[in-house]
Amino acid sequence: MARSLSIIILLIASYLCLGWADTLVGIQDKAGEIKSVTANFIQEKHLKILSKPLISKGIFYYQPPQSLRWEYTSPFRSILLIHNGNINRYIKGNDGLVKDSGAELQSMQIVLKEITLWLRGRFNDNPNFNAVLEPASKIVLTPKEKSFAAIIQRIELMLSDQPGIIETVRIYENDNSYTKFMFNNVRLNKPLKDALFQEVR
Amino acid sequence: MRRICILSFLSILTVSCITYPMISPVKSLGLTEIQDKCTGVFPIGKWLFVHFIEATLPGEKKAFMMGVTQIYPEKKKIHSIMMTIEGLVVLDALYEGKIVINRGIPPFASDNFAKGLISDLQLIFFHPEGRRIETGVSDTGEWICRYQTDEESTVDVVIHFDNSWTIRRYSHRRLRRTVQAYLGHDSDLLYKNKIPERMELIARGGHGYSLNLKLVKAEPIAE
Repeated sequence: MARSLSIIILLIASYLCLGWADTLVGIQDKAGEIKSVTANFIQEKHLKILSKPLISKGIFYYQPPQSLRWEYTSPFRSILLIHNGNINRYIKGNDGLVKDSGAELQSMQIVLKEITLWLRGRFNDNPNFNAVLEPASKIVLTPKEKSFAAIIQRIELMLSDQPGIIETVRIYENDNSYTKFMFNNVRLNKPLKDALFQEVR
Repeated sequence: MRRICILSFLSILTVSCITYPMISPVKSLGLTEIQDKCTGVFPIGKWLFVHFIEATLPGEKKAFMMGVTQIYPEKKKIHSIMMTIEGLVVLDALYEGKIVINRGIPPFASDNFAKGLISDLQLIFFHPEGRRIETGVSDTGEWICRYQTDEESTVDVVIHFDNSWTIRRYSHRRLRRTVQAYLGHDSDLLYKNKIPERMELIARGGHGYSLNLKLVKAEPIAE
């Protein structure tokens, strides 16, 4: 009798503790309520051959369904814009901000398309990845196909206690290389102008 | 007609500027100093460099990458990692007698791309292979060492008056590559080891390109 009571109390307690990040559907529902996200980020590039990671800093703006401005402020200025299905990058070079037309941008599309899905909480929408919600609000994405795994081994996202916010993202390319993004100063539902996703200034 | 003459003159001038330069001999007293200067532009020991790379491709298209390079001059070994600004590694290539691509995302995964990249890095960081065939001064008085790297190719190392340098590779006496190094004075480590703060590589030919490399980090590799 005492054991049954304990189980019932435990179940009630568990139900009361259910947060926004307890199921993938719950996360998607909560993220669906978000009108915009603005956040600062720190990027750490870890390579086996580097004694210390390479650090970059910047700010990003997101507006559903798929508008993103991903802007690096240091060590170099670079602005990546995604809007209406178009992806463009501008980098401050010798002649000021110039459009990047290199092939490396094609490679980046794999990651960029992912980012806009994550920000909408749609971790299962990419047919290339399996999404699993693990304890401590961690989502692990693993490629379904071997050919894709040669590019990205797995992605780990740590969700914040605050609904709709991702705290860190780790993109593992292989055992020798991964990139960690840490987000801070997150502001939700702040009105953002369309021009932010179309113009570089 | 006058315009045509001016254009013709400019064309001739341009061609003449990139033709095989004459080297005037110097007295034997200055030879060693010039040769030491030429050798001194190449890093001694093992180094790790991180560069921000601005590439200008045919059609004036621009591409931007980060390059992480480990060099081992004694072993002639190079480990080069090219990645996007966002950190995605598009090429990880190792050269130690032969090229091994550890990781590559198309179109960077090609053997030709890796071969070209390693060849450019060798030109920038390694003392030219082969024997020194001439040492002297250019028409403008700058010091030059010329190396015969193979039957068809030579490499000139030109030391400028401000101690910066240019490396030129010729094939059949035609200029193929130029590396211009710009020294900085902000760091003792860089100045003492003659590590350029910026370099510009110009590849001439049908699929010519230029690379502007800005130094982000340089550190000696510990044993």
